[in-house]
Amino acid sequence: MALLEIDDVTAGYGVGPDILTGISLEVNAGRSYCIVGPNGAGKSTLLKVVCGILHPRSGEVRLNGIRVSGLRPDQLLAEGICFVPQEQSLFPEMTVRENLVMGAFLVRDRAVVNERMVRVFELFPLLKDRVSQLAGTLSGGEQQMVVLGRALMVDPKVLMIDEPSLGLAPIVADQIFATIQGFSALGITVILVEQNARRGLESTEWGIVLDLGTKRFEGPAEGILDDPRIRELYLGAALSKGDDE
Amino acid sequence: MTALLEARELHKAYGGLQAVQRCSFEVAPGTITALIGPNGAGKTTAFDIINGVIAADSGTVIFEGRDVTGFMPHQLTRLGVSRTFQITRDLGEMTVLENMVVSSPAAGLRSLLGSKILKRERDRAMELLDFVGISALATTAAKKLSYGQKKLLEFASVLMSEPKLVLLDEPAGGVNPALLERITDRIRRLNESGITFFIVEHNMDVVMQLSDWVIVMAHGEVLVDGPPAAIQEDETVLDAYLGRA
Repeated sequence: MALLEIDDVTAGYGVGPDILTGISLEVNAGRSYCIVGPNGAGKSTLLKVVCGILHPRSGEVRLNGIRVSGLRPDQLLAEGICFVPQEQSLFPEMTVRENLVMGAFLVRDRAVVNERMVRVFELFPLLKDRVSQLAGTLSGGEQQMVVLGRALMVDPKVLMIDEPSLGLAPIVADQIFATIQGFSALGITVILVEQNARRGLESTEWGIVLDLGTKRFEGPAEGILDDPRIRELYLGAALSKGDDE
Repeated sequence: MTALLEARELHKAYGGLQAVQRCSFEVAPGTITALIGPNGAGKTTAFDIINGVIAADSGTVIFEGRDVTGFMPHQLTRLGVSRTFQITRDLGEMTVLENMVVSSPAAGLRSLLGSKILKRERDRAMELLDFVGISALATTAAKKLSYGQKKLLEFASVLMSEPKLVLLDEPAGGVNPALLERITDRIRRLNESGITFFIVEHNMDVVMQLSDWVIVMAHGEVLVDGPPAAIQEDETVLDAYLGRA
């Protein structure tokens, strides 16, 4: 059985139109996925539905076969579904350590919190040197490391990351992508949404292509961009000659 | 042929981020010209500069050979440049017809202050509502319209000022296929009657089928421009959308 099942989900904002228009897909434990697709395809909306920020209008999300759609984000977090939004979400006036501890706010056992922090420092040695520094004074790339580190403090079953390279210099984005690639090795299930489809797919194993709120096709991340359907999705259906009068 | 609208070397930075840089392009009279590009390319910023919603750090906007840099939106409307008019919450209390009339530059403030609608304005408004197919809703409060109907009202309202150039921001966004067909048909008909359109749009099928000319922006600059078929074949355009390796 798949770890996460998204079953015929429709969703939208307020009284607006459906952004997700009946999407179904399965996510297996320990694998890493990159969701790509043109603007408005519903990539970020899908993540928001899975983490409970947005409730589906119909359809459901199941974790280990149990329906979890309808739960609040904190309840889903307790189930191991962690969402890293693209908006800046650090506490800038708190130190790196405090930010990391906040990530484990559901954990009562101090020893577990410390253990997880050690693991975060193994992944991000740089953060260990900055542990007492205020998060707001870090560079963009360092802040993104704290954000990812804080997500690991939850010990997530599913880690969903929305546009981690947004606004980062290319060399810093490289580090972030390398880190995300490393998550797979740790057995964390990763669902990545990334505008830079090429880089996102390079860092993951499986590609899922969305368009107009539904899945168009999926396949091994490597080579998915060579599919001829990609050009059509991003640049429109080919114009037949003489079509434009 | 002299351009109807010309942007010369536009620059705009937000903090350290160059949203638009060295951005120059032309919109030829009588065309439907589309502005496309991946998220964050600077399309909306360029649009806002042209429309006078934000000021450029440097650069020039020329309309009909006249320097209109820094003109306010209402000044541009008087010259014949009109942009999709967003229905705000306040305007939502007003009827569809009233929304149409406040969009008329001559009427604006006077109507808001409660004076009578001129017969000429009413006739023009009804004619346009009929043109987009929502004249039956003339006395309905705008807030009661469906998303699609609001879109049609927005579209009809930009025509109240009898513009030479219409700027449309995502006319196809969130619109169902039947309505989309109606909107694109009306754009074509208005274009045939001599109105020039400049459109920012993410739906590539619409862009490629509707426009005569496509301008592609990436990283704040114009990457390439050309007829739709050439743009679809252009590898640099696809690379801009998929991200660089």
